[in-house]
Amino acid sequence: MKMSSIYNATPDDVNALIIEKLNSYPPEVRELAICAVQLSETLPETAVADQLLALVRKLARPQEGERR
Amino acid sequence: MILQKMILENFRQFYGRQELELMSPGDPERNVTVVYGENGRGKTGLFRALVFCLYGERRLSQDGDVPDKELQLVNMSALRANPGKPVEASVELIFTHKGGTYNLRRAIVGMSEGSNVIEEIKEIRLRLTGVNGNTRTIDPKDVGEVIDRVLDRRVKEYFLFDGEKIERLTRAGVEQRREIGRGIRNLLNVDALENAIGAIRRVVKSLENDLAKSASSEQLYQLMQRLRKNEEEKDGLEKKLEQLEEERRKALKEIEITDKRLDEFKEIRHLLEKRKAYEQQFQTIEQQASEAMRSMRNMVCKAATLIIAPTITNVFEYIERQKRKGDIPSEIRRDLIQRILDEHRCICGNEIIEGTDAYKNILEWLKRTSDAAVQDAALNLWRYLSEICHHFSDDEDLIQKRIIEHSNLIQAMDNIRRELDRISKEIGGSERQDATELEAHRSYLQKSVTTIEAAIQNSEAQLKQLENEHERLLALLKEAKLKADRNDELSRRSLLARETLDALNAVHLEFTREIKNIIGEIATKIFHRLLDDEGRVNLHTILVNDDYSLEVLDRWGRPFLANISAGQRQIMSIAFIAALAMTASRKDRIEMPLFMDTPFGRLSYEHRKNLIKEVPALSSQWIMLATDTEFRQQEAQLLKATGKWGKFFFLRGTNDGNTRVEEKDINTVYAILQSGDDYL
Repeated sequence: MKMSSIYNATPDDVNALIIEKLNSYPPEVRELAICAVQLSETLPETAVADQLLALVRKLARPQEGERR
Repeated sequence: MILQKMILENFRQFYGRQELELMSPGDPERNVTVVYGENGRGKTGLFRALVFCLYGERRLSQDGDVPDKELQLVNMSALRANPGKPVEASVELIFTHKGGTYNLRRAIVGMSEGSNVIEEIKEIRLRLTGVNGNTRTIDPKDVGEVIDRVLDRRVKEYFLFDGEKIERLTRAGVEQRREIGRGIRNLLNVDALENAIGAIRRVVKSLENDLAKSASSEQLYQLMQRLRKNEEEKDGLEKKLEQLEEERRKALKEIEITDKRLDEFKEIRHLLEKRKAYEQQFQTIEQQASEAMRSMRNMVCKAATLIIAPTITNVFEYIERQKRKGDIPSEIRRDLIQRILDEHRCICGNEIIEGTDAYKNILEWLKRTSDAAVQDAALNLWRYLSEICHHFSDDEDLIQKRIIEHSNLIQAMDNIRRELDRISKEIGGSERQDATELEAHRSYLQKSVTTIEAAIQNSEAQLKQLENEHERLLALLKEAKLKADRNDELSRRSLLARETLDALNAVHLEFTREIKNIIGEIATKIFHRLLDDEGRVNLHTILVNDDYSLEVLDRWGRPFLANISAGQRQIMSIAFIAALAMTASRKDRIEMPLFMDTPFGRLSYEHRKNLIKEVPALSSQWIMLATDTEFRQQEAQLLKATGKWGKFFFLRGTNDGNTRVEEKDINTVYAILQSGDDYL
């Protein structure tokens, strides 16, 4: 039987697996997603959303070279 | 996890202290325990005791809408024996897991207050003895976490195979899909991921609200408005669907309750049917009697004639006699004789002299003759009476026949009336009314379910359309955002949040698919082990579809679910639940005790044989809850042959409505069942 990664993952390392899956996404998306998952380990949904909003604002800010 | 011992004290129907040593010490290979008892003796109560002890939960999923107060845990006899005083009920479990020995005890205290019983959790105590032999007591607040690590509470139900669940999973429908979906979701163990998705969804909504308020691009603004409207409609429909499913579930539950109540009327149902038949028969006879009476009324004139029949017959016979004698009509007319006498001369010309014999003879003749008019009247009367007398017999027969007929009908009506009275007394008036009302109520509920199901189908179709539209709008929005000024910070934020949400959803979907495939693979393997030879040839793969419905493919990969038998469906469900349990254990073997409540329902001998042979190898422990119709000579023989049968408990009902647990030697039980005796 083919054993999938999620099948073998224990509750403790399932989040590491999620982070690994996010590797193929653009850096900002990956950073925001990982932060969402990590915060979700300890915080409720609304608290996570509040913190994510701040991070989105930071990540979406134009970089120096992009400013007109 | 291996359950070694369960100790019940005043728990549910188990009055006093009762112990079940579920495994023989030092004989772990014999991992099958049979708990044998009639319905209502507490077989499921043992699983409830397990769930209560492990998690402090009193409800099982199968309890549905049963109110908590009806799920009283403290034994009623114990409460009655201690009026107004608190009574403790407890369950103690001793189990081994990964080398450790756990001793867990949970107690609840109950007290009667009038007709109510108030119950309160009293104590929880967990002692853990490690591999090194050291024992420590776990802090009560950490007990839940420790137990969840042994067996996660969300997957506990997979280890109880009750007949109802097995049956439910074989039905295709929203509820079945929801249950399978919930099962798979629980197995994913990705709480943080789901929480993260929820959080990022909130962020997306908030950012798109900001963007919609300030959108410089009209197209972007319009798209967002449409997307918001679509999402609102979707939310509304999803809520409506949930509501409809809840209504459907309630209606089905009520049908089930109504059916149970109707079953109680089964005993008098034949009487009700008999009474109905008698009532119809009575009506028919009553009508016949009424027709017979009408017919008799029409015969009143004839009947009156019959009253004077003897007189009429006498008159007729008198005239008849006169006629026979020749007096009527007389041979010689009276006026001719009178003329002979007056003229003293015969018709032959001879003289008739007074005083002679000839004269006397003629005088005699005269006396015997009567007046012509009288004779005519007599003859007329004779002819008339002759006709009447001729019908007397027929009329009498007919009237007599009618009277007998009517009398028989009246007699039959009396008999039926007496029988109806007897049946009515046996039935009792109110029950009959109740049964009729219940039948009508059931029929109404059934119609409601049909209507609700149609509404569900309709809403699902609408939801599907909205989802397709949602996907299309998202794609358009993404495109529009890209076209919009990349330096527009609001657009960038919104786009980033959307992309992150998509990424997390994709990961979740990938995990779900993986688990679904794994479960399908495991279920297929178990399915093949449990199927009979013919089934193995024809049925190839169990699939969990994207919509969480189950499918079975034949050897050519074609959907075959619609063609499989009821027994094969049951085997398929068992294989699927076992796969869920195995996936939850994350092992090739189910490392938890499996409780199977009346699992053999529709199974053929071959399927039963395979189940008995395979389940002890599939799981670390099998606790089979069986009734007398489930566990008989054949099953005992098959189980004995596996060499895995370790324990047998008999749940015996006592006169006070409680259950006593009696452990029996398996060889004795086997011998009794082999001799063909009913163990009960």
